[in-house]
Amino acid sequence: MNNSREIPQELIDSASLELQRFLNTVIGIDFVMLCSSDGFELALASKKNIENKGKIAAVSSSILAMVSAFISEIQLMGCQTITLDAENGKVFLTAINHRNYPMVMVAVTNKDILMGQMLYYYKELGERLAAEPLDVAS
Amino acid sequence: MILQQYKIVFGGTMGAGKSAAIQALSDIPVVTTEAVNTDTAAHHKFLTTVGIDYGEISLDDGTKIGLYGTPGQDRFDFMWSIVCKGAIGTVVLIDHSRIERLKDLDFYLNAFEQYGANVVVGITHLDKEHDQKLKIYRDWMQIHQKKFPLFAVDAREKDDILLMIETLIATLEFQAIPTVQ
Repeated sequence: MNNSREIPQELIDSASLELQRFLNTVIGIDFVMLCSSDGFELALASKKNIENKGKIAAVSSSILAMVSAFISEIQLMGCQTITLDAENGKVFLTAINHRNYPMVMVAVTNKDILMGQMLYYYKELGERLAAEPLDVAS
Repeated sequence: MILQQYKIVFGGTMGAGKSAAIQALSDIPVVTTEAVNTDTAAHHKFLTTVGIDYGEISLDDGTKIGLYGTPGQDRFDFMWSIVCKGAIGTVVLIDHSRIERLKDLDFYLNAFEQYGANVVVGITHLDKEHDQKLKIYRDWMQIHQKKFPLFAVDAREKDDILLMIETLIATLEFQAIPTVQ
C-alpha cells in the first residue's frame, strides 16, 4: 500500500540537484539540507563531511516548530526564515510549504556570507522546492 | 512546604498519549509543535510532536504548574534534557499495545530518571490488549529494583492524569518532611 505521507523519491532526487546547484551558486555556503517537517534528512549538499546529519535534521524541525508556535502566541503571521548568528558562522532555517509534503530547509554558512545574495537565492530555492511539479533547471 | 519549581514533564513512547494527556488536563489552550508523521513504520498516527507541548493546571491553593510534553522518538532526545531542567517530576507514559512495551519502559525510565528521581509510570492503551495487564510491569520493576508508582490510565481522561500528577506532588511533599532522629 502506497504511503501518501512518504516523500516521493523523484522529489528527493530533484531537490538534491537543486541543493547542489544552490551550493555552487552562492559563495560561502558550508552545507544545505532538506528535511521532512518531522525531522528526517531528505537531501544534502555539502562542502564538508557532516557526521550528525540526523540530529541536525531533528533539531531543525524542532526549532522551526517551536518558533512557529511562538509566532502564533504573539499573534504574528507567516514566519518565513530564521537566521541564527554565531561567532563562526550563520544558520538559515526555513519552512518549505509544499502542498503535499511540508519540509524544512537548513543552510549553514561562513560568517562573512553576503546576506543579500544568500537571502535572495535561498528564498528562490525555497519557492522552487515548494512548487509542484518540481522542475529541475536545465 | 513551598514548591520552588513548577514544571512537570511528560515523556514516553511515541503515540502513548503524552499530548493527549496534556490536552485533557490543561486549564489553558495547549501550545503544540506537531508535524506530519512520515515515520509510519514507527506509528500510524498522522501528527507527531517535534518540539514541546505546553499546558498549565492550577492547584487548589492557586499554584500553577506547567505541563511540558516531549517528542517520543529518540532522535529528539536532545529535547529531553533541556525540557527536564527544573522539573519537579516526570510522567512516563508507555503504550501497552506495543509488543516492545517492556523494552520501551526500560528505555524511557533510563532516559528520564537521570534527570530526576520523582517519576510515575502510566500504562496506556490497555483496552487493546487484556493479557496480564499491569502485572508484567510490576514484575519487571521488581526484577530491576525500580519503585515507581504505576497506573493504568486512559490519557484522554483528566482524572486519570490528575491522579498521576497528585502522586508526583505528594511524593515531593513527603520527601520534604523533616525526619525526627
